[in-house]
Amino acid sequence: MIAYNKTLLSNMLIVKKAKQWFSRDLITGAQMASVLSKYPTEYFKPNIFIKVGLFLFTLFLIGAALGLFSLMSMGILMNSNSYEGYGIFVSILFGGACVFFLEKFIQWRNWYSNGIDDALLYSGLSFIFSAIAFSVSNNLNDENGFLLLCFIYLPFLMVAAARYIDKVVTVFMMACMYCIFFLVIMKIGYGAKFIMPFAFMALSAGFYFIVNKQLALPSRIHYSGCFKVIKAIALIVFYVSGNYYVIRETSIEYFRLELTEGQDIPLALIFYAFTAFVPLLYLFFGLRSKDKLMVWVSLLLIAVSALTFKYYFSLGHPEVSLTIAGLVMMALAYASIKYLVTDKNGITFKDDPNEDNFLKTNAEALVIAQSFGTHSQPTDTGVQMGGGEFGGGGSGNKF
Amino acid sequence: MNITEQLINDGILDKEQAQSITKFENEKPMSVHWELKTILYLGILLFMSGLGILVYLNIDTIGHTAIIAAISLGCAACFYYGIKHLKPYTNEEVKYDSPLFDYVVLLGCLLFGVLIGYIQFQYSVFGSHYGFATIVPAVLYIVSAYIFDHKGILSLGITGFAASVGISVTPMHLLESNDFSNTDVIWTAIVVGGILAAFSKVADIKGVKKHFGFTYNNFASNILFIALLAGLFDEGYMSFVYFLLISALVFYYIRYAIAEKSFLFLLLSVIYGYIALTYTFFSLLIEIGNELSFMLGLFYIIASCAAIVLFFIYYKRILGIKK
Repeated sequence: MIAYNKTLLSNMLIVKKAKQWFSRDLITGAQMASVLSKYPTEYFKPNIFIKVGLFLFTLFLIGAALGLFSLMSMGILMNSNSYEGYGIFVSILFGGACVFFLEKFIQWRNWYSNGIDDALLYSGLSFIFSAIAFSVSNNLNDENGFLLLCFIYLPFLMVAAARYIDKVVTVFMMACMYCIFFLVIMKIGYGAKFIMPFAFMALSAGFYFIVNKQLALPSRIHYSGCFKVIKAIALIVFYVSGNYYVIRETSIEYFRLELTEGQDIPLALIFYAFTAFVPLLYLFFGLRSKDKLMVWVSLLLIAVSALTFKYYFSLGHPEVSLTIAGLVMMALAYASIKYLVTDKNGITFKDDPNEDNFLKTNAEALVIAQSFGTHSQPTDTGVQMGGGEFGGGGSGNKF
Repeated sequence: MNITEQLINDGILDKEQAQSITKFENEKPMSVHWELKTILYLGILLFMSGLGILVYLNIDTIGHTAIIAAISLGCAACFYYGIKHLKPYTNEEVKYDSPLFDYVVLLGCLLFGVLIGYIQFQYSVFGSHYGFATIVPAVLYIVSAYIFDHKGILSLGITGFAASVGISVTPMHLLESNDFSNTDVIWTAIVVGGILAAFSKVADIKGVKKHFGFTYNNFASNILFIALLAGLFDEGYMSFVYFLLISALVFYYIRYAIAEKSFLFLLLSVIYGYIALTYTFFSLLIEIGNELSFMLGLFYIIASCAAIVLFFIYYKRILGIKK
């Protein structure tokens, strides 16, 4: 099922683990050397910035090719009266070409995740999407048209996510599934509003438990990235479908709930409790099962919950809330650091040198410069402040 | 696939080692180092902003003297902590074990900036020499950055230094707050960027705090490239000069990127250089301005993008670098 060279993927995993063990003296240098020679990971593996460059310029290239093709085949469009037919034709042609080159490059060059293959995959999927959209475009505006679009598109996303083990595609696949689920439940009519939150919770819980089982299987090891994405999304959607703000605002928006002053939504207390406790439960279970992903999701959701409660029970003094929030965060972080001077229950404050973590980068320095001292001083030449223009930039309109 | 089993089958691991590895994998603690540090940092950020607004709103009841005294005290306390835990200066990178050190020193520097701003706002000690009000903290920041070995404070210092001559250099404000249609601003920005890049180069040769190079060059390259591009877009008789300068800069930063293995600069120079080249090419096309030129433009984009993709794939071979 996986398009990439499986031996390469496995070798990469083995070497990564072996390096971690070697850095902790669990294996000897001789063993490390034989691992490196036995499991070669020679392939074109660009640095992250070069990967970004490859990605961008491959997209420009595809865009320009599309432009050139459209320009040359304009005559066909002029003569035929089927605008949709032409759109479908071009989309299928380009989508097919993208997928073809993607497959061939992976085969010939043993490529894996170097920016070009990602660009080809995403453009291929976008072309497929527009082909489907052109085909159902007559009834795209109503819910049924959109539902049909999602239904036809979902298999493509699933195959793409599974074949190219791509996390971004996985996100879109999940979004597509939730959309279908939402629209199908909406078909029930009056009863929809009562079951919607609970149906979403049940679906997310289902995703979570299935994926958690799959993650533990050694045979699914190459899919762990995608499964983690699904897990994070399931955790977030589970929380969001019971979040007080979401329930209240969607009830008003989609289910024509009318609240007078002082009135509250049905079961308000349950949803308040849900909003308050689910992130804390996530944090507890995340720490207990040493699940970094869950800890991160829980921290994010704690912030969301705080904002939710602030929205409905505002003191009217944002500066007080800011100060208190800052104090609480400082105090909690400080207390935790002091508490973790010695490791507790398998949790440590010591930096794990083998961990990939984007908080570790140079980003901090930029954030500091960004947050403070952002304004330049007026000078004698009378520089205009704030209204800086940049003449449109030479690139924007060209690509 | 089970990695330890595979290694045993291939005769690299023995059973005992595999057991101890499995034991290690199951029992290794989870590190929450960066999570807690981030929370602490965000907490300081929120607290400072909240406190700032609070003071601003209640200025009448608190009184200026009290506020200035409080800020000075806080600032002094932070610097006292910093100096007490200070390790002796070396030209190499100095690491501090205490996770709090970086943050306390940073807080002290920020408070100093607030203090100077406050005094200037309230009592106009620097009169209309606004530049002084920014250069004084900027100098303190840069000196502190070297003493305490702190990249964040260095960023603050560089930002302040540029601000004192009227240039906004923070990434998000580089374009919006600078009026690049003004030639003076362009040249000021070029001088600022040039000083930063040159200073970093000299420091690098002398071996002084080499790890600051990224911070300096990150600011310098962005300021220089954007200022030069703005000059190029200005369409004056100088366009050709700007184009040559950009080419030289692209060359400089590609070499820097390779030498430092800092590929952000490779990407930046290629993208900025590509924008300059494309702009120049299209200006020429518009000069010619016949029917074919649009199609020629599209061909140019296809060919140039393909060329850049190939450059990124084979840059090691093209630039003659061995692994």
